[in-house]
Amino acid sequence: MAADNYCCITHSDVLSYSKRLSTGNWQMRRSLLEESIQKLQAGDMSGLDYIYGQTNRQVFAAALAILHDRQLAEDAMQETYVRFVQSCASYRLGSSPVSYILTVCRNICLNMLKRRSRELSTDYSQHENLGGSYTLEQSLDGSEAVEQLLSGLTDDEREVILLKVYGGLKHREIAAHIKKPLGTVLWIYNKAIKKAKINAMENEADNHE
Amino acid sequence: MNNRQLKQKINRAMDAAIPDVLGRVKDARPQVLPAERHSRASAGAGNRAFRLAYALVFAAAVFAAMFTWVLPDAQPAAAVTFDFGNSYSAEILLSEDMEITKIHSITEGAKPVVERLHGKQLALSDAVAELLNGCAYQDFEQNNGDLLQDDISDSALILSVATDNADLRRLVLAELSGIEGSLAGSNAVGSYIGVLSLSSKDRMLAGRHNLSAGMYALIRRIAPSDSEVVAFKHLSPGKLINLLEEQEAAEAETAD
Repeated sequence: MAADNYCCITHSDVLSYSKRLSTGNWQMRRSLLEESIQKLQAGDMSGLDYIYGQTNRQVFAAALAILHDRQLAEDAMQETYVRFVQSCASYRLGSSPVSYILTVCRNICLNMLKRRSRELSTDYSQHENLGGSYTLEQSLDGSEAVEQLLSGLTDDEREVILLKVYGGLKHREIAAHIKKPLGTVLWIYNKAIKKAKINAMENEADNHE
Repeated sequence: MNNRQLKQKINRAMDAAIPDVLGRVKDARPQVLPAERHSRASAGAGNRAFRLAYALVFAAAVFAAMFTWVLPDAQPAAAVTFDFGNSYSAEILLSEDMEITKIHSITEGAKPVVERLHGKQLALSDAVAELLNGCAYQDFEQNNGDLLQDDISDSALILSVATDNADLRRLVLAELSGIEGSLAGSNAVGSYIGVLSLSSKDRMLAGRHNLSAGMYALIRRIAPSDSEVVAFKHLSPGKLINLLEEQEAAEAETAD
């Protein structure tokens, strides 16, 4: 009997079950995020821990994709959460919390880029003493590898691949975030994956040499 | 390398680079600020009030412009045009009481002469005499004393009156008929062609060609249609008179 039942489970049943499971997880995660935001709105900072744990990867991915600089992305990330706490009272329950935080992050990054374009840039690699104990090599440990993988990708391609692969966002969510049609996002993602794969293989070949 | 390996590679690199800023965010002790929200209804009401106020101000501006600028010039009771030589054209607008409401220049040459007349209370015949003297004097100065005497036909004077009011037309023509007397006493040297009578429609058509009504009426005697006016508009009144005379002579020969 048990064997019969086992045989009756088809491939589509498995797919449908896994879909229900992932939908359930997503809804649970969203309701927990909203609970934490409600705590923050009431002035309880303990809600921030859960929010940070659930969204820090997406926020860092979005910031690094736009800013191309780990140090700036770190500053943007900090500013994003400070600004989010300050403005969380404006969050409407029922809308997407991750989208809300990513929108705050994107606005901050774009403002930073605008501000940076007006500032005079200085190459600190030639003036190491000005940087104190912070050295260029330290800043490039992980981000250098990322930059090597994503070299030659356009800004849109960087943003889509990082939000998808590292941020774990769905294509639909990325499309809503960068305000582009779903088809365009899928096309950008496929192009980005192909380019990144070529970069990765070239890097491996260089390492072997 | 397959997609899975690539994603693992990206994830490992990003994990190595991701900073932990939670402690710094908490140290900054951000305060939750009160939400500034406006209900949709009140925002809509605000927009409507703004649009209504804007529309009212615009309507008031249009209304004021109609009465202060458009109406006085749009329909004068009569318009007398003055064309002298090749470059002096002006228009005198009259009220129903034969009072001058405005004098404006049509050509650049007549502009300084007309400006000198601003603010003066003049009768129609005096205004025409002043314009004639002013233009003749200006021409004299510009040509270093050569007062168009070598080509007298180019200093022809044309006066015209455009009005739909028959009584007013009769009165204006009567007043302008005495202009030859004042011409005799003036410094101007030239030929007086006479006064042309036009309708206000002719005046409007002349405006489209940037011509005075008198010049337009003269050209229309030569050009059979309005579209052919362009070919003649740069000729002086004297030359137009010559053309007209040639045309009339040719027609008379054909008739014989």
